[in-house]
Amino acid sequence: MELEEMQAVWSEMSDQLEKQKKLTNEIILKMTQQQYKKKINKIVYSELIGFIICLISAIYILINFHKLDHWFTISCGIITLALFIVGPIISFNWLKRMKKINVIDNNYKQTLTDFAKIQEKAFKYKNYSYVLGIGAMLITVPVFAKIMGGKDLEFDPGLLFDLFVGVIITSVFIYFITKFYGRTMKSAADTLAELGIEDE
Amino acid sequence: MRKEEAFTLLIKENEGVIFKITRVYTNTLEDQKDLYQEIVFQLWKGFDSFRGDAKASTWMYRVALNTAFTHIKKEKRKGHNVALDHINLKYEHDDPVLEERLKEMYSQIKLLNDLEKGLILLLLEGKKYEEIAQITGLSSSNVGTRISRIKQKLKKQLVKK
Repeated sequence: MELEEMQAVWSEMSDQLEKQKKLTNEIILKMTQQQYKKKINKIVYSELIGFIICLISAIYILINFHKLDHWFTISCGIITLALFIVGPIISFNWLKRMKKINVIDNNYKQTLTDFAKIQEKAFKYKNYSYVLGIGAMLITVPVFAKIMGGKDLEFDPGLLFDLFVGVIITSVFIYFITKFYGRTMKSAADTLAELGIEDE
Repeated sequence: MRKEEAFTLLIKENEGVIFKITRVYTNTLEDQKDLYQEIVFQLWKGFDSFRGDAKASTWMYRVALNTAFTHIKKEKRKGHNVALDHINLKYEHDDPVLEERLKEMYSQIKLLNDLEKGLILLLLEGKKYEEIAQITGLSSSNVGTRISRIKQKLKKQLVKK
């Protein structure tokens, strides 16, 4: 369908819509009330669950910190605590940025730009965090092995093998996830290019 | 006139416009209702900042397009609004030929990128390049160039079929 034909169809639809007024004052005012917006914000819930798990884990490590008796497990314990606290904060920060896009005062171009920039940065961060995930696994396993099972990584070849398998599985998972996000990154970059804007 | 009265009047006058925007940006009736409600909510939130400034329609299109774009990008991450499920947004007519042409038109629009979708929507709404520029933040000449490109794209889509 060419543009002129589209214009004719659009105009016909507009005329018919003009005759079909469906909204009442009551419905419109209901739509303006926040309490009617019962959105189940899945992403916020999943972040919240993640945050609670991290918090419980951090408290658990703190309570049992005295069980870590070697410089290596103590260092891993400190880094694990830091990861459990800093990780959720960074995640929440991204959510806050996404919500900050001003749909009321921005023009359309600005909204597209803001969204593409945040998207691009968020996915870069996600890619880094998956790579960091492998590092985190190497650090947290000795801590939990010691606290929960009293096992020392250096004296337990079975545990080392489990860790090795874990790293391989995680790496494969990360490979596919980053491939998937690569497409989203490309779409964000395309939007910026289309608008003639360079990412900062 | 009270704020509520002025607002309901604005929405009633433009309910068809909001319907058309929501249909371009969504694929199901459920999502369309969701987006419709979100647009009305955002318009209400920004209503104070609008009163007295720019032309009402320019402001309304700008908020509606911004909301539609950000809504579809977040759509997969969220559940649905449930309280107003009883709203009947269905566009009723008894012309199967028109329905077929509408489907064809929407499927072609949906093949365009996000910026082009907004531009074609405004063009079909009969907006002049100057007003499209005010709503989108592009310059008038840029709007003209991009619309020429959209025309070429539509022709190419036609050839592919």
